[in-house]
Amino acid sequence: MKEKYASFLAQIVKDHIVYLFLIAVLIIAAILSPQFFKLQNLFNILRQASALGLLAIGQTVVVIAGGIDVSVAAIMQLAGVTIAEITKAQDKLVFVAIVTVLFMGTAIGFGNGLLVAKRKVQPFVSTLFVGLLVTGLRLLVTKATPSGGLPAFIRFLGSDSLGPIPNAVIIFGCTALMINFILSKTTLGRSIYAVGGNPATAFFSGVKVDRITIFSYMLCGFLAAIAGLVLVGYLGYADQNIGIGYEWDSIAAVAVGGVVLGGGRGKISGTIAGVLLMTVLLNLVLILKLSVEYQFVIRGVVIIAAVAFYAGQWRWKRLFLSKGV
Amino acid sequence: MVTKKGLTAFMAICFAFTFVLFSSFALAEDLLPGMVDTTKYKKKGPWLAGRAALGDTNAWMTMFSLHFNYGIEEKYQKDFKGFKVASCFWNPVKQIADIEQLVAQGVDILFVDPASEGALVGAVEEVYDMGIPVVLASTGVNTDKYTTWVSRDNIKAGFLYANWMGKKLNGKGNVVVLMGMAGSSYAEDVLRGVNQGLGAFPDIKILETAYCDWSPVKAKETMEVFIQSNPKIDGIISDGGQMGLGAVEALLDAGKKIPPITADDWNGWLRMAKQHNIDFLAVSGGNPLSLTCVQLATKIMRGEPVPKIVEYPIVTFEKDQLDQYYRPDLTDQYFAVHELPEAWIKKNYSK
Repeated sequence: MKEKYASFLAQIVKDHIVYLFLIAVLIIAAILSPQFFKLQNLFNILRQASALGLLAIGQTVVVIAGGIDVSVAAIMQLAGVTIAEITKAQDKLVFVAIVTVLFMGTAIGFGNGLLVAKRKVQPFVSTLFVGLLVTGLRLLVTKATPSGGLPAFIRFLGSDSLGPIPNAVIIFGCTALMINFILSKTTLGRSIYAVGGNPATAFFSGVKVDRITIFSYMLCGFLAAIAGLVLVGYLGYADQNIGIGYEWDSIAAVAVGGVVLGGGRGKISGTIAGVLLMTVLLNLVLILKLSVEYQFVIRGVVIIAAVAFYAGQWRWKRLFLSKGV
Repeated sequence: MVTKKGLTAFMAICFAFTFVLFSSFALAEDLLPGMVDTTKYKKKGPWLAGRAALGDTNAWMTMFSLHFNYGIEEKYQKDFKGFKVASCFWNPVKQIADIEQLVAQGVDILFVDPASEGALVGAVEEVYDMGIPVVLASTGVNTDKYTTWVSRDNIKAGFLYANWMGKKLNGKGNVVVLMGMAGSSYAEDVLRGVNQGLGAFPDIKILETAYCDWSPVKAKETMEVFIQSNPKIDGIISDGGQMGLGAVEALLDAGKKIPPITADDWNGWLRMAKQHNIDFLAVSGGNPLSLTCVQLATKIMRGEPVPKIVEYPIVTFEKDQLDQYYRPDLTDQYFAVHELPEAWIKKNYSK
């Protein structure tokens, strides 16, 4: 019984070590700066994390299915610029614009999925160049001068709050719950894990591997478009450069959260912790008034440590047993 | 025995030699200090120009390129037979390859907006040594082997921000500083100017300095933290309107009063300043300096002397002059201080 309990605890620690890092960072924050735990600051952190969180959830699904998507930032930017171009800062066409943007994101994801599943192009290569194509077309169409202004509804999504909780956080939370449910409780979710773990075995078990791969990229594109809307809504302005670098941040958050980049393993809860850890660290180094060099060093060290702990083969069970749990 | 005729001829030769010698001294003395003799580049037009560009990935770069295009395609149209542009998208390695390709295509003059001050040294020196005039636009390169360099004085821009803020706060208060990219010589120059300017106001305290990569999102995220940790922010020194926009969004979300703030002549910022009646100083970003580059190129190719370094003038304006500069009929990506004709502005920036 004691051994079983230790195994259970060891598994939890192994799966969620990033939460231990997050808690450690929060404790350090509480000791060093009382401003950190102000309610407004905590909501700010959650709101700042929402766009990256949505992106990272989509990335998690693709990575679990054995792929990677580096076109997500391009989709995000396209979404932000398109919503501004269609609506011209008026609410009149906002719902048509949102549907268009979500369709575009999903369609680009479909294209990525087709290239990977049907043409057998390496996911990194195909999504890298699809991202480049999308960026180039966006610059060509807008001549790098998008109109910028946003309708009030988009600002409502990204900046306003329903009660004390920011709307962006609600969107992020609901999406996380929904995708977590799909991954953990449905046949579709189990198929995604199976395809990422071993596509050949999944195929012989009757899983439609190509369809699952294409679905994962479509979902990722769809969520990247939502993330784009939330990000421009947070800022209240759409610009070409908003979202630059988010593709790498989303992959980093997924890796920090313990999702295996080779596919087949990982959890949404881990990704959320990864996103929060990255956002909290940024907030903390600013609150501590560290110079920019130390900001980079501290963020780098903590994130590398978290990933290293995941990768290491730690004997957690023995640790709990030796402590007599 | 020297004949009279021979003596006359000898005297004439001596006189001619002396004349030529003194004329060359006189010509050399005509070249003022800081000017470059470009007679060796003199060539009959029209010329083929090349530009190793950074790439039109933001509003500033887009208008910078428009000034180049306007100069070559319209203002000095008769002087140029073509304009070849290669964009490196801020990748210095690609820019070196771009320069090599442009030279291989036989350009008569090369414009470079360098992606790096250090990495481009070899490539720029090589072109210069080949006898092709090199005009540097905006950022410099760590060599003197270029023909002319047109730039805005970024230390002066930072100084102007600080000086205005100091006077605005009557020499006393707490400010936060939002700069561009950490480690970039541009951002460090502006910050140096800010520190020099604030040196005259010992009772103004810099609460925080942050690098936000000119991103409005990062500026908003950073400002949200600053608002939490500093209850009293009397002024914001922001290097540009995009970061200013992010900072103001954070203040609006927090329900705070908007303090005096520095920015630039970007129309998106001016729209926000008008909308929220913001007390601001705009320091022009200087993107029309590319047109000066084209003008200097025509002089170089005609063999006329040009300055080695040209400082493009900075224009400043404040809240009370906003209506002269803000254009509600144009998109946010327009910059108010420019040298383009109205037709070009309407073609590229009409809503």
